[in-house]
Amino acid sequence: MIVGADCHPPLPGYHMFLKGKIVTASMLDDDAITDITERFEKRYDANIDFTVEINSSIIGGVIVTVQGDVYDGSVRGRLKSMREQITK
Amino acid sequence: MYFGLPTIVFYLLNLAVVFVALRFLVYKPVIRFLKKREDSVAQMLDDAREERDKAQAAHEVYEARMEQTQKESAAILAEAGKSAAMRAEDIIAKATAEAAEIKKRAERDIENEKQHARRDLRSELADTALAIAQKVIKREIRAEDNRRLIEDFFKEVG
Repeated sequence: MIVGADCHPPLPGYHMFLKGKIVTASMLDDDAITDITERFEKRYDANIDFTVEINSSIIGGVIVTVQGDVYDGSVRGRLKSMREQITK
Repeated sequence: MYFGLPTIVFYLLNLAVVFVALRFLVYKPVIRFLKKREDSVAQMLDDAREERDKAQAAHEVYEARMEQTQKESAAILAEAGKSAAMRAEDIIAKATAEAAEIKKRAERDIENEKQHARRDLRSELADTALAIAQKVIKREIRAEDNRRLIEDFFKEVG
Protein backbone atom coordinates (compact mmCIF):
# COMPACT_ATOMS: atom_id res chain seq x y z
CA MET A 1 0.00 0.00 0.00
CA ILE A 2 1.43 3.35 -1.03
CA VAL A 3 0.67 6.30 1.22
CA GLY A 4 1.85 9.87 0.95
CA ALA A 5 2.56 12.42 -1.79
CA ASP A 6 2.40 11.48 -5.46
CA CYS A 7 5.24 9.31 -6.58
CA HIS A 8 7.52 11.68 -8.37
CA PRO A 9 10.49 9.94 -9.84
CA PRO A 10 13.39 12.27 -10.47
CA LEU A 11 14.34 13.49 -13.91
CA PRO A 12 16.20 10.83 -15.94
CA GLY A 13 19.98 11.10 -15.99
CA TYR A 14 20.06 13.01 -12.79
CA HIS A 15 21.39 10.99 -9.82
CA MET A 16 20.50 12.08 -6.37
CA PHE A 17 21.45 10.87 -2.97
CA LEU A 18 18.44 10.29 -0.81
CA LYS A 19 17.77 9.12 2.68
CA GLY A 20 15.19 6.49 3.42
CA LYS A 21 13.86 4.42 6.31
CA ILE A 22 12.72 0.82 6.45
CA VAL A 23 10.55 -0.14 9.38
CA THR A 24 10.20 -3.84 9.96
CA ALA A 25 8.68 -6.02 12.70
CA SER A 26 11.70 -8.26 12.96
CA MET A 27 15.24 -8.07 11.70
CA LEU A 28 15.45 -8.52 7.95
CA ASP A 29 18.22 -10.46 6.33
CA ASP A 30 20.74 -8.60 4.16
CA ASP A 31 19.21 -9.98 0.96
CA ALA A 32 15.85 -8.50 1.80
CA ILE A 33 17.37 -5.11 2.62
CA THR A 34 19.40 -5.19 -0.60
CA ASP A 35 16.29 -6.12 -2.55
CA ILE A 36 14.34 -3.23 -1.11
CA THR A 37 17.22 -0.81 -1.68
CA GLU A 38 17.67 -1.83 -5.30
CA ARG A 39 14.00 -1.59 -6.11
CA PHE A 40 13.62 1.87 -4.61
CA GLU A 41 16.86 3.15 -6.07
CA LYS A 42 15.52 2.03 -9.47
CA ARG A 43 12.20 3.67 -8.73
CA TYR A 44 13.76 6.95 -7.67
CA ASP A 45 16.77 6.65 -9.95
CA ALA A 46 18.90 7.72 -7.06
CA ASN A 47 21.18 6.33 -4.44
CA ILE A 48 19.22 5.80 -1.27
CA ASP A 49 20.76 5.31 2.12
CA PHE A 50 18.21 3.33 4.14
CA THR A 51 18.10 3.11 7.90
CA VAL A 52 16.40 0.08 9.34
CA GLU A 53 14.14 0.40 12.34
CA ILE A 54 12.59 -2.51 14.22
CA ASN A 55 9.02 -1.89 15.38
CA SER A 56 7.05 -4.96 16.41
CA SER A 57 3.79 -3.05 16.39
CA ILE A 58 3.62 -3.30 12.58
CA ILE A 59 3.38 -7.09 13.14
CA GLY A 60 4.83 -8.07 9.77
CA GLY A 61 5.83 -6.73 6.36
CA VAL A 62 7.64 -3.39 5.96
CA ILE A 63 7.03 0.32 5.85
CA VAL A 64 9.41 2.16 3.55
CA THR A 65 9.76 5.92 3.65
CA VAL A 66 11.66 7.80 0.96
CA GLN A 67 11.59 11.57 0.50
CA GLY A 68 8.38 11.93 2.48
CA ASP A 69 6.64 9.17 0.52
CA VAL A 70 5.42 6.37 2.73
CA TYR A 71 5.00 2.88 1.31
CA ASP A 72 3.07 0.81 3.83
CA GLY A 73 3.33 -2.90 3.23
CA SER A 74 2.87 -3.80 6.89
CA VAL A 75 0.34 -6.21 8.35
CA ARG A 76 -0.87 -3.42 10.60
CA GLY A 77 -1.51 -1.25 7.55
CA ARG A 78 -3.43 -4.01 5.81
CA LEU A 79 -5.55 -4.66 8.89
CA LYS A 80 -6.27 -0.93 9.12
CA SER A 81 -7.34 -0.90 5.49
CA MET A 82 -9.59 -3.92 6.09
CA ARG A 83 -11.21 -2.13 9.01
CA GLU A 84 -11.96 0.88 6.86
CA GLN A 85 -13.55 -1.35 4.24
CA ILE A 86 -15.72 -3.11 6.83
CA THR A 87 -16.90 0.05 8.52
CA LYS A 88 -17.57 2.01 5.27
CA MET B 1 -142.41 70.31 82.76
CA TYR B 2 -144.18 73.09 81.00
CA PHE B 3 -142.63 74.65 77.91
CA GLY B 4 -144.15 78.06 77.29
CA LEU B 5 -143.65 80.07 74.16
CA PRO B 6 -140.84 82.19 75.57
CA THR B 7 -138.99 79.07 76.57
CA ILE B 8 -139.42 77.58 73.11
CA VAL B 9 -138.38 80.81 71.54
CA PHE B 10 -135.46 80.98 73.95
CA TYR B 11 -134.46 77.43 73.09
CA LEU B 12 -134.91 78.12 69.40
CA LEU B 13 -132.83 81.25 69.72
CA ASN B 14 -130.24 79.22 71.62
CA LEU B 15 -130.31 76.65 68.95
CA ALA B 16 -129.94 79.30 66.29
CA VAL B 17 -127.06 80.85 68.12
CA VAL B 18 -125.46 77.46 68.68
CA PHE B 19 -126.13 76.63 65.08
CA VAL B 20 -124.65 79.87 63.86
CA ALA B 21 -121.78 79.56 66.31
CA LEU B 22 -121.20 75.99 65.26
CA ARG B 23 -121.42 76.96 61.64
CA PHE B 24 -118.80 79.65 62.01
CA LEU B 25 -116.66 78.07 64.66
CA VAL B 26 -116.86 74.41 63.73
CA TYR B 27 -118.60 73.70 60.50
CA LYS B 28 -116.60 76.06 58.26
CA PRO B 29 -113.22 75.19 59.74
CA VAL B 30 -114.07 71.55 59.61
CA ILE B 31 -115.22 71.93 56.05
CA ARG B 32 -112.08 73.90 55.28
CA PHE B 33 -110.00 71.26 57.03
CA LEU B 34 -111.78 68.51 55.22
CA LYS B 35 -111.39 70.39 51.95
CA LYS B 36 -107.74 70.89 52.65
CA ARG B 37 -107.46 67.23 53.47
CA GLU B 38 -109.36 66.33 50.39
CA ASP B 39 -107.11 68.55 48.31
CA SER B 40 -104.07 67.11 49.97
CA VAL B 41 -105.25 63.57 49.38
CA ALA B 42 -106.10 64.46 45.80
CA GLN B 43 -102.66 65.96 45.40
CA MET B 44 -101.12 62.85 46.91
CA LEU B 45 -103.18 60.74 44.57
CA ASP B 46 -102.08 62.88 41.65
CA ASP B 47 -98.48 62.64 42.74
CA ALA B 48 -98.81 58.90 43.18
CA ARG B 49 -100.41 58.61 39.77
CA GLU B 50 -97.63 60.70 38.32
CA GLU B 51 -95.00 58.57 40.05
CA ARG B 52 -96.72 55.46 38.87
CA ASP B 53 -96.73 56.78 35.32
CA LYS B 54 -93.08 57.70 35.60
CA ALA B 55 -92.27 54.26 36.99
CA GLN B 56 -94.26 52.66 34.25
CA ALA B 57 -92.40 54.68 31.64
CA ALA B 58 -89.07 53.84 33.27
CA HIS B 59 -90.07 50.21 33.43
CA GLU B 60 -90.92 50.26 29.74
CA VAL B 61 -87.59 51.88 28.96
CA TYR B 62 -85.88 49.27 31.13
CA GLU B 63 -87.75 46.45 29.41
CA ALA B 64 -86.81 47.83 26.00
CA ARG B 65 -83.17 48.15 27.05
CA MET B 66 -83.17 44.64 28.52
CA GLU B 67 -84.56 43.28 25.30
CA GLN B 68 -81.95 45.16 23.30
CA THR B 69 -79.19 43.98 25.60
CA GLN B 70 -80.38 40.41 25.38
CA LYS B 71 -80.44 40.62 21.59
CA GLU B 72 -76.91 42.06 21.57
CA SER B 73 -75.70 39.39 24.00
CA ALA B 74 -77.19 36.66 21.88
CA ALA B 75 -75.49 38.12 18.81
CA ILE B 76 -72.16 38.37 20.62
CA LEU B 77 -72.47 34.82 21.91
CA ALA B 78 -73.32 33.57 18.46
CA GLU B 79 -70.30 35.40 17.03
CA ALA B 80 -68.06 34.16 19.80
CA GLY B 81 -69.31 30.64 19.27
CA LYS B 82 -68.48 30.90 15.56
CA SER B 83 -65.05 32.36 16.29
CA ALA B 84 -64.41 29.75 18.94
CA ALA B 85 -65.39 27.00 16.55
CA MET B 86 -63.12 28.44 13.85
CA ARG B 87 -60.31 28.91 16.37
CA ALA B 88 -60.80 25.38 17.61
CA GLU B 89 -60.56 24.10 14.03
CA ASP B 90 -57.41 26.14 13.46
CA ILE B 91 -55.91 24.87 16.64
CA ILE B 92 -56.76 21.29 15.79
CA ALA B 93 -55.34 21.67 12.29
CA LYS B 94 -52.13 23.23 13.64
CA ALA B 95 -51.83 20.58 16.33
CA THR B 96 -52.32 17.83 13.75
CA ALA B 97 -49.66 19.33 11.49
CA GLU B 98 -47.29 19.73 14.43
CA ALA B 99 -47.91 16.19 15.56
CA ALA B 100 -47.17 14.93 12.03
CA GLU B 101 -43.95 16.99 11.96
CA ILE B 102 -42.92 15.69 15.38
CA LYS B 103 -43.61 12.15 14.24
CA LYS B 104 -41.56 12.67 11.08
CA ARG B 105 -38.70 14.15 13.09
CA ALA B 106 -38.89 11.34 15.59
CA GLU B 107 -38.79 8.76 12.79
CA ARG B 108 -35.81 10.54 11.24
CA ASP B 109 -34.03 10.62 14.59
CA ILE B 110 -34.77 6.96 15.17
CA GLU B 111 -33.42 6.08 11.72
CA ASN B 112 -30.30 8.16 12.36
CA GLU B 113 -29.83 6.51 15.73
CA LYS B 114 -30.25 3.10 14.11
CA GLN B 115 -27.63 3.93 11.53
CA HIS B 116 -25.31 5.28 14.21
CA ALA B 117 -25.83 2.14 16.23
CA ARG B 118 -25.19 -0.04 13.17
CA ARG B 119 -22.02 1.89 12.39
CA ASP B 120 -20.86 1.70 15.99
CA LEU B 121 -21.61 -2.00 16.11
CA ARG B 122 -19.75 -2.58 12.84
CA SER B 123 -16.79 -0.58 14.18
CA GLU B 124 -16.80 -2.53 17.41
CA LEU B 125 -17.03 -5.85 15.63
CA ALA B 126 -14.32 -4.80 13.21
CA ASP B 127 -12.08 -3.66 16.07
CA THR B 128 -12.66 -6.89 17.95
CA ALA B 129 -12.10 -9.07 14.88
CA LEU B 130 -8.97 -7.17 13.91
CA ALA B 131 -7.60 -7.23 17.44
CA ILE B 132 -8.02 -10.99 17.45
CA ALA B 133 -6.50 -11.26 13.97
CA GLN B 134 -3.59 -9.11 15.09
CA LYS B 135 -2.92 -11.33 18.09
CA VAL B 136 -3.14 -14.49 16.03
CA ILE B 137 -0.94 -13.15 13.24
CA LYS B 138 1.61 -11.83 15.72
CA ARG B 139 1.75 -15.24 17.35
CA GLU B 140 1.84 -17.26 14.14
CA ILE B 141 3.87 -15.12 11.76
CA ARG B 142 7.17 -16.64 10.65
CA ALA B 143 10.16 -15.34 8.76
CA GLU B 144 8.96 -16.89 5.48
CA ASP B 145 5.57 -15.23 5.97
CA ASN B 146 7.35 -11.93 6.40
CA ARG B 147 9.30 -12.60 3.23
CA ARG B 148 6.08 -13.34 1.33
CA LEU B 149 4.60 -10.13 2.64
CA ILE B 150 7.61 -8.20 1.37
CA GLU B 151 7.26 -9.90 -2.04
CA ASP B 152 3.60 -8.88 -2.18
CA PHE B 153 4.64 -5.40 -1.17
CA PHE B 154 7.08 -5.27 -4.09
CA LYS B 155 4.32 -6.34 -6.44
CA GLU B 156 2.14 -3.48 -5.23
CA VAL B 157 4.91 -0.91 -5.34
CA GLY B 158 6.08 -2.10 -8.71
